[in-house]
Amino acid sequence: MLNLIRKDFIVMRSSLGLIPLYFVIFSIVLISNTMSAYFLVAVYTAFTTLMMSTGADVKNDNHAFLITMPMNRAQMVKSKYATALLYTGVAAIACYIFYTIVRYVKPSLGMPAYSMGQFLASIGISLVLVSIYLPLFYWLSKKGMAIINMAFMIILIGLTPFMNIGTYLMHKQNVGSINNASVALIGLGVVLLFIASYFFAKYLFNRKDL
Amino acid sequence: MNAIEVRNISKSYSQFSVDNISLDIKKGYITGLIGPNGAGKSTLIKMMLGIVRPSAGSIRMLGAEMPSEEIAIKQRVGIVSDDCFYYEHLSLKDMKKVIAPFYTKWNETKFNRYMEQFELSPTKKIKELSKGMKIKFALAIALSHEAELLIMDEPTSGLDPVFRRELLDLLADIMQDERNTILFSTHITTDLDRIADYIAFVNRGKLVFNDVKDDVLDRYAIVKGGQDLLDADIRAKFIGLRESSVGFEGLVDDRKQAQELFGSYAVLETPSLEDIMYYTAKGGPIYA
Repeated sequence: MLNLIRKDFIVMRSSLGLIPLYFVIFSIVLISNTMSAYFLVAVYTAFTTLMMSTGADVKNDNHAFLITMPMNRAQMVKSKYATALLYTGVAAIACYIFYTIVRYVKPSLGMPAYSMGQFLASIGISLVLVSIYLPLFYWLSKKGMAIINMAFMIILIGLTPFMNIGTYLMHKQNVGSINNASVALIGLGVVLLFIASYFFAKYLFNRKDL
Repeated sequence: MNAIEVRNISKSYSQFSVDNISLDIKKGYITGLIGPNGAGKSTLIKMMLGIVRPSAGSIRMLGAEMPSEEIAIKQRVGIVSDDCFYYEHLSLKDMKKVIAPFYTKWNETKFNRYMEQFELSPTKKIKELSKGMKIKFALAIALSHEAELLIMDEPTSGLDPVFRRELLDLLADIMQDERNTILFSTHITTDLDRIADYIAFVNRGKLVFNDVKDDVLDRYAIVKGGQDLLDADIRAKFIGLRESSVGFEGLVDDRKQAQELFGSYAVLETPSLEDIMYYTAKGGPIYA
């Protein structure tokens, strides 16, 4: 599996420079518009990176090449889920660091502290999106890639106003913060969804002709 | 001993099917897999490699079951195909960096030697390579991880005559080690006339024969004669028949019977593999 993850980075090397660029653009746009939903920068960055990685794998029917090497389909799927986790974690941390730096460098912006809730939300939302995206990718591959990516771009764009409305309503109705038990329950749900998604993607990919 | 054992394998598509093929590829020999375009050769190979899932049947390679033991099997298998699925934007050096770590017996010195021998520049990108160069690169990769079984799908189709000869010599060299086996799929049968020990012929998704090449060439015969020798019963003896106003030429699969039937009234010749493929694929009488 490590070789497959390594492969992803070699294959994406030429476009890796774009990822920090996307990150900075997303950050500038969200910081200037809506600080409460800033954590979505992590979701956008992680997901864009994942889409670049899946795109590289189907561009020239490369799954048909990969499967001729000493590996099986389960490893191919597992490695993609592992890289998705990696992108999610790195993007969430980068998002936190960038926000904190901007907050200290530009106190005039009056940015509130980046909360643990926002950090966890960025990871949770990314994992939910990955859990829906990857089975679709392994089911439809090249034929459906353009449609899937388009649909997910719309979802990502729609996330920002949705999050803003959600945050606004929570404040207005004085819902307050979610308790630890709820966070744990939601977290467990996301993890279970992610695991179920992996098994489903593996099942779909196993039956497929490449 | 067999390097590959295919049993009752089937695969159906809307306009084409591989129908219940059983096939043994003998270890230590070169087997030519022949058939016209669209006969099912590539599908058969893709099923062996796990690229296409068969709808029925089983495959064993190098004594192990596919796909349950595919990782161990593929460590010992090299693939050269005219379908190039490498990452087009990568250089050969980077493509090698992707591939090499997967193989426990990767031999870097051998790889560099083949790159030099095939005049491949490591900095060149896959998308900049001609079809022939891509095949050379695939061959360099396949030969650098000590593969015991080389599966080649139409490897000579994009090659110039000089490298085609070199390739055939290289394959002959590989076969000096009797543990090695080559399955060579092609519709350019002249390549197999030179190097193949066994011939497996697939036509319209079915296996026509899988036999020692020399036995096949001894068994089949091209019969040439005048129109007066033909009637409905005689025509039925031919696998394929080409008739013209001056005479006929046809393929039979029983040379002895043909000799008894025509005696000295017709000329019997040893067919080429291309003759066998042509007449079998065409079938029935053809009027020229």
